[in-house]
Amino acid sequence: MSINSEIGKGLQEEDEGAIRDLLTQTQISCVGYIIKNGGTKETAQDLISENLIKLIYKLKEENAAIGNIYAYFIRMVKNAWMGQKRKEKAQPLIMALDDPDQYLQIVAGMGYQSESQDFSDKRISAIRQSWKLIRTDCRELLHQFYVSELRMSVIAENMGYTYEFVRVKKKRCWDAFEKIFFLELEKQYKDG
Amino acid sequence: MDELDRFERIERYIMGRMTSSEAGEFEGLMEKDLQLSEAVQRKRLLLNGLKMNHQENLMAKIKSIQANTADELDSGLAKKNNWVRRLSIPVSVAAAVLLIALGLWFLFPPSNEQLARQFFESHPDLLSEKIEQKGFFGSHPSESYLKKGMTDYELGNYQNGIIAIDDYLKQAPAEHPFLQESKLYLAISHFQLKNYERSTEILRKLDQDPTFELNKLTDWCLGLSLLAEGKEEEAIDKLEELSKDKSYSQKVQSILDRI
Repeated sequence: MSINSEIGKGLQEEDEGAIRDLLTQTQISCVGYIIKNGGTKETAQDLISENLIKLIYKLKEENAAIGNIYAYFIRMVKNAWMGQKRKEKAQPLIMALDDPDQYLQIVAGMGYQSESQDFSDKRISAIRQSWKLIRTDCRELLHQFYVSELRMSVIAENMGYTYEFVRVKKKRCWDAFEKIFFLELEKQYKDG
Repeated sequence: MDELDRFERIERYIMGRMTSSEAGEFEGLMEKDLQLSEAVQRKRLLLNGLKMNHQENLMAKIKSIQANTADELDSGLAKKNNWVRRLSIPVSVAAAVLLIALGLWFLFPPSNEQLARQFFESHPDLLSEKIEQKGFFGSHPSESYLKKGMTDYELGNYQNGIIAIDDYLKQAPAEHPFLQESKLYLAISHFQLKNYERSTEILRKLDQDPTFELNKLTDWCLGLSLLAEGKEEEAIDKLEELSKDKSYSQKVQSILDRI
């Protein structure tokens, strides 16, 4: 990992203090810039939160090399705002139809609540429930592997297990998670 | 293929960790094996949901911090706006202020320390990029302190910057490429905190290294640091050395006229 700064490590770990520090140091500059360039405080804050998630994911990448994270983030938000403005100017409907996610949003906005949307809601709800129900160590292991995308050797070190043990445990945890998830999903459909 | 291997292959396929030929082979297997294909779909469904859930949680966390820091943001923005408003004060008032300032200038000329600080410009952080460029090849763990120090320096947190750069200097090997340059930033930070004795001491040592590529800047900073410290004669000597240099001659002349 090349992120050696305290703030970088804190953001990688999604630490609340690090997030607060980054926001405190950068949001006045970002919001000020966006308001100056035709945006509102609310759109600026949405853009900041979206980009902060992107930054956190980027910092989790193995080869992410970012020097001054504060300056990098300010640039990232400013560029995103200018990019968004350019996108708005250039044929918005055609862009939206090319992008399946945006297309679905438009359809949803037009009042068509598709079946897949209903399924998606139930799926998320079942995931939340099953995520709560699995063992804490399983949750930790699965989070490190699937969400933080850490290497198995790193996870083994973090959790104090052997590499081989983590391989087996991960499968057991996933199987348990999957089983509980489908039970919860079934329950969701039964409950309507 | 045992159960664990099969599980890990599905995982590698979904997470995009297979080579294209491996992925092609795996897709061929899926076409023949309905159970495998269903297992992939199940896992993809769950994994995407898991990531989406995590993103939502993270977003909620960020939004809650944003809500908690809303007052700070509003007061920061208000200060910024006030500054802009202040810029639009009628010209007559500005002119009056300017006249008063000029009058005071002639009545009470600035001290040597004030003069040195007026001419002093913080050198931009050029090191962070150099550290990135060097990458990991041949780098040293002590660079993490230097990176932190430069971030603090750039943000004007000079006290923290000094601590971090000092840590770097203590731990970096003798041949490390950024030693001299980091000392210059250290001296500038001390100057900013009015620790002139310390900034002069560091700059004097740097000045003895003729190979240091920023030796002109070092001379300029040393001249100003001596002046701020009250060592006027020595400062003048140092600044006069620079008067032949094209990029400094104008500034040097200007400050010498006012000492």
